[in-house]
Amino acid sequence: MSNRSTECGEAAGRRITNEEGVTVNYCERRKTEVKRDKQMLRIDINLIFTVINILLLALAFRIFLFGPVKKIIAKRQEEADEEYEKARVSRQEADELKEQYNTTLTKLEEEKKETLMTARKNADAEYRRIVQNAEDKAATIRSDALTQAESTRHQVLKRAEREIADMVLEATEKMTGKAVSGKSVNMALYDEFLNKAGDKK
Amino acid sequence: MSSLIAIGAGIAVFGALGAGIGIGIATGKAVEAVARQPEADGKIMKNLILGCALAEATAIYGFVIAIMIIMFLK
Amino acid sequence: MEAVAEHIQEELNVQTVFTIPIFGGIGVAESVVVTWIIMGVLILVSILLTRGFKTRNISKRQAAVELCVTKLLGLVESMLGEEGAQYAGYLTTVLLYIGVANIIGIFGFKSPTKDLNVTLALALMSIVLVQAAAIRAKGVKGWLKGFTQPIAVVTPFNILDLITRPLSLCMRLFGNVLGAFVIMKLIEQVLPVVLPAVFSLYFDLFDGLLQAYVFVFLTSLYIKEAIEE
Repeated sequence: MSNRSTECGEAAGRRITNEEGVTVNYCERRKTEVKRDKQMLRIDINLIFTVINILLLALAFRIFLFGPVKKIIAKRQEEADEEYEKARVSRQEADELKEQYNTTLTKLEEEKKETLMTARKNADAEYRRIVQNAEDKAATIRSDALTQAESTRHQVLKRAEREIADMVLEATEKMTGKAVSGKSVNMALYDEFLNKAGDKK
Repeated sequence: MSSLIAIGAGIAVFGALGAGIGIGIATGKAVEAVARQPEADGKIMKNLILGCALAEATAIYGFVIAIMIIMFLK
Repeated sequence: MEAVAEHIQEELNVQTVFTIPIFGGIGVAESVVVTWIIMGVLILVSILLTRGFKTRNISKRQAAVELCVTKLLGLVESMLGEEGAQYAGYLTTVLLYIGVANIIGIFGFKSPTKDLNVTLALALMSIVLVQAAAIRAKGVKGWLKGFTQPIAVVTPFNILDLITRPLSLCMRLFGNVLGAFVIMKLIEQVLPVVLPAVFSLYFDLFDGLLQAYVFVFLTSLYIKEAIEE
C-alpha cells in the first residue's frame, strides 16, 4: 500500500466508481489507463510483421498483376512489330520487282528504237537504190532514144538524098529528053551537085 | 497539473496557424496564375494540391503532439 | 464527456487480436490482421481480373485493367525518372496498399495505418530503399561521398536527413489518419446518421488517397535525388 501511495502522489487514496459499479483506487485506474494509452503509440513486433506483409504483397503483385499485364503488352508489341516487319519485307520485294520490270521495259524500248532505226535505214537504202536504178534506166533509155533518133535522121536524110537524086535525074531526063544512059557517068555530076547544094545550106 | 496539460496541448496546436497562412497564400498565387493563363489550370491544380498536402504536414505534427500530451501526461 | 473520451480512447487503442504461442506469446495486433485481409482481397481481385488475357479482340474488363495498371505504373515511373524505373513495381504496391488501407474505414474495419507500427514500417522501408538505390547506383564510396554534397559543411544535416525524412513521412501519414479517425468518431457521437457519410467522403476518400500519393511521391523524389549523379 505504501509504495502505491508514493507512486500516485497526491491522488493516492481517492476512490472513484468505474462502469461496472466497482469502486477502485483512482491511482490504480490511472495506471491501467496509461498502460492502455501506451498501446496506441507503441512499437513492437508488429513492425516486423508489417514489413514482411508489405514485401509479400509487393511480390504477389509483381507475379499476379504487373507480370501478366506487362507480358500481354509486350506480346502485343511483338505481334505488331512482326506485322510491320512482314509489311516492310513485302514492300521491299514489291519495290525490287518494280525495278526489274522497269529495267526490262526500258530495254524493250531501246530494242524497239533500234529495230525501228535499222528498219528505217534499210528502207532508206532500198529507196535510194530503187531511185538510182530508175535514174540509170532512164538515162539508158534516153541515150538509146537519142542514138535511135540519130540513126533515124541519118536514114531519113539518106533516103531524102536518094529521092532527090532520083528526082533530079527525072528532071534532067525530062529536060534533056534523052534517056539518061550511062547512069554512072552522070551520077558523078549529080553527086557533085548535091554535095554543093548541101554545102550551101 | 491537468490545466498545464491543457495549456500545453493548446499551444501545440497553435502551430497550425503557419499551415493555414501558408496554404492560403499558396492558393491565392495559384488562383492568380490560373487567371493569367487559364489553359494551364490542370497542372496548376495538381501542383497546388500536392503543395497543400505537404504544407499540411506541419499542422498535423502539432496535432499529434497535442494528442500525445493529452494521453501520456497525467 | 467522460464517456465520450473513454469511448474514443478505447477505439484509438490498437488491440491485440490473437497471440501466437511462441516465445512466450507474441501479440498480433489487429492492424496486421486487417493487413492480411487487405492483402488477400487485393491478390484475389488481381488474379480474377487478369484471367484469360488475349492480345487482340480484348474484352472491356481487360482494357480497363490494362489501362489502370499502365496509368499507375506510368505515373510512378514518371516521378522516378529513367534510371529509377526499376523501383516502380514496389512503389505502386505501396501506393495501392496505403490507398486501400486509408479507405477501408468506409467498410467498417479499423484502418491499419492508424497503427504507428504500420506507418513506421512503411517509412523505414522507404528509407532503406532510397539508400539501397543510392548504393546500387553509385557504389558504397559514392554513397558515402554523397553525404558531403554539395558542400562539406552540410554533412551533419545530410546525416540528420536519414532520420528526419522517415520520421516526417511516418508522422504525416499517421497524423492524417489519426486525425481523420478522431474527428469521424466525434461526429458519429454527435449525429450518427448522415453527417458521417458526407465527412467520410472528404476524410477517408480524398484525404486518404492524397496522403498515399504524397507518400509515394516523396519517396520517389528521394530516390530520384539519390540516384542522379
